[in-house]
Amino acid sequence: MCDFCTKHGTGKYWYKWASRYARQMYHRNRVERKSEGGVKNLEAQFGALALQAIEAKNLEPERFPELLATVNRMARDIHTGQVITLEDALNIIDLASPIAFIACDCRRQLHGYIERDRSKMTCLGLGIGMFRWERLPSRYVAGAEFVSDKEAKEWLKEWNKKGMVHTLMTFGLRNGAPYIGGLCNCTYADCLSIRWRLDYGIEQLLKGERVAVLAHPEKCTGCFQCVARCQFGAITANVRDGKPYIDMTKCFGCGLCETGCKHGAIELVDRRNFEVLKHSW
Amino acid sequence: MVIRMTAKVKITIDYQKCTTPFACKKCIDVCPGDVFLVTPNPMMIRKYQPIDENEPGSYLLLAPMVFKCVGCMKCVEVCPNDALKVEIKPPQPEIEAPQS
Repeated sequence: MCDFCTKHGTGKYWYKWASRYARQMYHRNRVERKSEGGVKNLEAQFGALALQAIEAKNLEPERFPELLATVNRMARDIHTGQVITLEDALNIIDLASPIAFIACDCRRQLHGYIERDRSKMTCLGLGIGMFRWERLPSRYVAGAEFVSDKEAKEWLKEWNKKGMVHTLMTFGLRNGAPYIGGLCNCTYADCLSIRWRLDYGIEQLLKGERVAVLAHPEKCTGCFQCVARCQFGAITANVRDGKPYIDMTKCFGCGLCETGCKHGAIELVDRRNFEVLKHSW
Repeated sequence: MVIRMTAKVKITIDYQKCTTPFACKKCIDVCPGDVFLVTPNPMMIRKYQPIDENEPGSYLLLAPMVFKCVGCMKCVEVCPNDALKVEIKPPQPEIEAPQS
């Protein structure tokens, strides 16, 4: 059980609470920002520190573990994401309102690319804060386009088909609870969170609540669609029986293998059923 | 005993010469390892004001992911202002004492 669930979900999935998306959360956020005054600087500090750690991996490897530990400690309170399945993402669309398409900030920073065409947008802004997007045009470079639940769901399924991982983003702890502000569809090519987690071990992206299991090996035909769809290198082809081999310790529980499997051979199982895996996030 | 063999890469950016990286982004497009980041300059972020990519200093070019540098030197070639410098220190076997 990740500490988000124990702290903020009273033992259930922390993001499946309607109150997480309520207006009060956003106001709490604003009030605390004003009273503390230093929260914004903390975000900038965190960014600078993360970049320092990343650079140190190559230039000063002896300092890297220490910097990484500091960054990981800060990440939970400042800006974290968690991998979620398509099913959970669709649930969240029901819970959260309003929903708006926004341009991806990772893609802008990593590739200098701003998607102005809606067919290329992969990020959703969630919650009441989106109504105030005009305050920060430097972040919402392509504006915000408010959409209905139905449209958003169709769009999520579309990206899932193309093999994008759904991640839920939080922006700061407010009054001890994470403020959920975004739902992204990412790949290693564009997403800084996935890159930083896989390349440097920065826990800005947490593993999902479930893990993939080859539950029905008799249904598997050995097409290896699941191997092609896994972003995290957890599934490889197994020569012995011509079926996929799933490394559960590497699995992030995104569920792409499950939705990609036409025969229903892969199932997602709750991480908490495994005594060791339930401590790995 | 562990012998590490990694080339250390140091990328220095001359901010006097590189002023509008978002409008130019030649190095970003050419880099195979995506070493660079273009981030909005925190000093230039204003409420209710869009950020202009053609304004000098609105975006900053950073090169944090040197871990992913392959040493193709294309970024140095392609830079119109000669703002980039890449120093590659060849790998030297570093011998670590065994931990007891």
